[in-house]
Amino acid sequence: MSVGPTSRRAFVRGMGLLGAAATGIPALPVFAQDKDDYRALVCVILTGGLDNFDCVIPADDQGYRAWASHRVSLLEQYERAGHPTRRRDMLVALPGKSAGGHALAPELAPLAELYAQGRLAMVANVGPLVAPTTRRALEADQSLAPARLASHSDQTAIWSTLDYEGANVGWGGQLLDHLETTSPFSSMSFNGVEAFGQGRRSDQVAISSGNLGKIPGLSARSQWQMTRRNELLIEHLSSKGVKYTDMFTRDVARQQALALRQADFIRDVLRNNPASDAVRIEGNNLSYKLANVAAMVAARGAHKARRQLFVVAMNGFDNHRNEAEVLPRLQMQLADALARFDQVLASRGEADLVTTFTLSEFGRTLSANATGTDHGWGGHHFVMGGAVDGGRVVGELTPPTTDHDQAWARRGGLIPTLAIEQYGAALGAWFGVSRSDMTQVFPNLGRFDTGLVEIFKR
Amino acid sequence: MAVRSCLCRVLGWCAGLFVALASGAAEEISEDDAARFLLQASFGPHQESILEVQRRGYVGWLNHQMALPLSSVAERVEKSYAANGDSNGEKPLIGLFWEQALHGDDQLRQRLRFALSQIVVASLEDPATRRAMLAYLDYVDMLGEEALGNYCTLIRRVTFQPTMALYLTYYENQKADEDRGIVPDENYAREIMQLFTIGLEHLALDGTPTGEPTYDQNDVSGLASVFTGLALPGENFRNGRATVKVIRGDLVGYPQYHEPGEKRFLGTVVGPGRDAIESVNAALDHLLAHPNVAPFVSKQLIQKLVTSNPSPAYIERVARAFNAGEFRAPGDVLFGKGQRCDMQATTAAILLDPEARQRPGKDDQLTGKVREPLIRVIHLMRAFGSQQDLTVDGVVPYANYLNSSHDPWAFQSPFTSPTVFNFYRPSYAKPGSEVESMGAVAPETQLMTVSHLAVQTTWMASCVVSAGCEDGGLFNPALAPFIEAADRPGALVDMLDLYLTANTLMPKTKRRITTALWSINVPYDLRREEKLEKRLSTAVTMVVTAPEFMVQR
Repeated sequence: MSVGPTSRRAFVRGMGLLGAAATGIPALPVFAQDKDDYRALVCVILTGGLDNFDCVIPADDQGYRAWASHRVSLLEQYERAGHPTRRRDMLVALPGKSAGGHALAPELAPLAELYAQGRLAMVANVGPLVAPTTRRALEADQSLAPARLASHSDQTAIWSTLDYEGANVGWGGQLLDHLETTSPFSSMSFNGVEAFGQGRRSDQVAISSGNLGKIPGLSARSQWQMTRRNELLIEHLSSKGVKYTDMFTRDVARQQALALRQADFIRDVLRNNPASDAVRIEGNNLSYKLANVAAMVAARGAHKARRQLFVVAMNGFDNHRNEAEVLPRLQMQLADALARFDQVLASRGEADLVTTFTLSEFGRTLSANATGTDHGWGGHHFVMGGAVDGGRVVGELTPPTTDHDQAWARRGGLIPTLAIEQYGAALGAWFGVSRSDMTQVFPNLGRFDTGLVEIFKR
Repeated sequence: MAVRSCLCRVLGWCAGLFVALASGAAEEISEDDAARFLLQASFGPHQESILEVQRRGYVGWLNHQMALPLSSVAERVEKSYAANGDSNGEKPLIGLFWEQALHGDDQLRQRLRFALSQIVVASLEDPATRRAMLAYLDYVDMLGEEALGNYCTLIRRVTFQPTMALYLTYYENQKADEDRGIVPDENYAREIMQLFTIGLEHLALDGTPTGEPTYDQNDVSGLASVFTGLALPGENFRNGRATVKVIRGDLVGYPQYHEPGEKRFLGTVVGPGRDAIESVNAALDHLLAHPNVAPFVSKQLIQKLVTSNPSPAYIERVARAFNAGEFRAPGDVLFGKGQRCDMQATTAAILLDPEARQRPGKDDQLTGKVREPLIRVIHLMRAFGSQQDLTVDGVVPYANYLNSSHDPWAFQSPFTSPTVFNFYRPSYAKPGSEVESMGAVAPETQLMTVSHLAVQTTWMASCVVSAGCEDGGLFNPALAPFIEAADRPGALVDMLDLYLTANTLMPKTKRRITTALWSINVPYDLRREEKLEKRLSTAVTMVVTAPEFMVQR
């Protein structure tokens, strides 16, 4: 959603009329005073399956050579493409013992810097699990393998909802269900309807794209010249007094009336918002979405949500071919947008209030195709924010071979060592969800050791 | 060629007339019912099409539509490329979609083509398909041909076509090679089963799931190895695309890359010793013979055209027509060629079914559907659309205006579903909604974001009257009859109610709109025209923002 000038003259610009008077939702943001009890989780969905092996790379001599041996033709493509950024001397080392001599691809350098500053942690090898398992255990007992691995839609669903494709309620939204959510802005997606952010009670404000338009004729001028026509139009937009006879129309009427009020509020929040302007990087789509998040964080005094969950997303990670052409550019956008977002939050004194984390349906295979990689299972994830105990790898990075305990039979993809439940519960605990509520969000949590995933400062 | 297509039209018309007479078209169709039929079977009614349905009858209208020839998008878009000195790009196709939807005669075929593009999805969002536009045009023409042809033929044709192979990544897919760590890509094997043919669970003929899964991972792996060794003819297999001059035409088999051994899936064994083409054909024979295909496809087509929650009996009636390949309509009119998966039989069964034709009764909560954003825009524009002949040469009109990412059109631009799972899933119900609490679904509400509801609705409200629906002014709404009616607000609201909702606005809604129009005073002076326009714009704004317009019942 852009706050720039609309491309169509058909839009009528002006101040919101459906604001305070009509709805009870305040029309203008009041920037927060009380910073003590606000927290936001920002979920960055990397759609398509992030190639963990092309982000986190062993930098020691032996490890690098082993890694490269699985990716010969892909590395050749990096050379041919004229940006040989996977050469060992180009990689950006991650300091500290827990990184075990691993480095990040140079396009992710801004994240390496955040890591070095202790503002970013990496959670290694997370994915869906029935129970903790290893290669050998899987060979003995196939029921330890979750169903429908490597299927985009199902794994996206499992990461978001812990259920198969078609499930519409996510663990993000359910975390909110267990917290005080009086604001209609508690859950917001800037990627359309996202199951992850939809709770059973917490309804998601789903924004897709485009400017939030205005009903023609409801302009600032008409606000002080309230005509009979506009009064009736406002009544109409909330379907006032109409008793619909069927469920479709009732649902639509409710959603539409709410959406128009929400749009009015959001439009005001996003207009000339200094936080949002500062986050935007020209041409970087993810930064636009994070800019919207920053604006909503800044407006917390107005919408009064004490806990907020945001979903943003970035596409294009499913590179079965041409990975060297596509992935580095995406990595740059991801790292630039995250770093800028963190920088702006820090400058506004909001860094401690916001935790940003990644989610992707699977990692990818260690062994490459000709110029790409295939669907794997476990993957590495980033968690960023002032509250994060950063500069660490949480969990274990495994050797770049296809025969260790956590190497999946499918071409050295990773068998997760940490379950989505462990990752989610760590984030949920920071969000303020109690241990007992957590087991309702993550019914299988008891099968895993949550003590293994400490992401935040104590 | 021209003579033949002309003859077809005449014959089609004669057949239509004959049928209308034979079926005693004396059956009076009210204009409400005609409009309602056209909301389902076309991209929306206007004055003339309502009269046409009343004249021909439903059966006659269907027969007439089914006899109209396909207008090939490939031919037309290639002319546009030539005129533009362009060789690629999706804009002319998207532009042509709008041109045909707004001004084309073959409305039934187009509406079905759009439905099929949302079931057998290959999206232009993927650079791989976008870069091979010529193949993509052929894919769209296949959807168009088989929209009134045969669904199973469509699946076969699409499978051997580069667009789907690129989109679902079986182009240059190789047999397993343990030494080099290669396993066949499973993408198409999974999606052709889950989305195009049988779905996840066994179904009764009436669409009721038995709870038993249709396939498991072994079936996926088995079928995946069938789809190996396929690419366009070229000097070699693996880097074939570099040597293929034009990405178009049918895939061929490369024996050395096709899995030679047994390929087991869904209780059958393909091979060994067959080449890639034979293997794929054998696998498709088996898959398309699955008893799930009829209820699985029938239900989705019903959902796209008529109602989100069809009764099991309705699904079964349509599935029987799908399986028999023929449908006998009242008046003993036969639709379909008698081959399984016949789309004419299926379509007639869907649209002529009592459940489609009867208006929902007072206590009927389940009949109806939410209109998807693109359909809402087209329904609106067609109601005001001036008659206009399709262009046959030169640059496709509309092409330069549409499909920019900040454009309200882009909420649901045709052929650009975000994934193979379409813009929305057939099983979606919004959590917390009344629909969900009834155990029902409203698939299109998956697109009802705040943006959709607020932006598109308000944009639509302004598009017809204030600026035309695009900046070039190419779409010229025929406003005169509406402006004229604006002098009598009740008459104007009645007109919009008929064209846009088939007369389903609630009395209270109509009264409120009418009152709002009366509140705009229309003097007999120089401002008269301006005030009438203001009435019209207010009326359109209020009708397209009415929940009754968002829902089609």
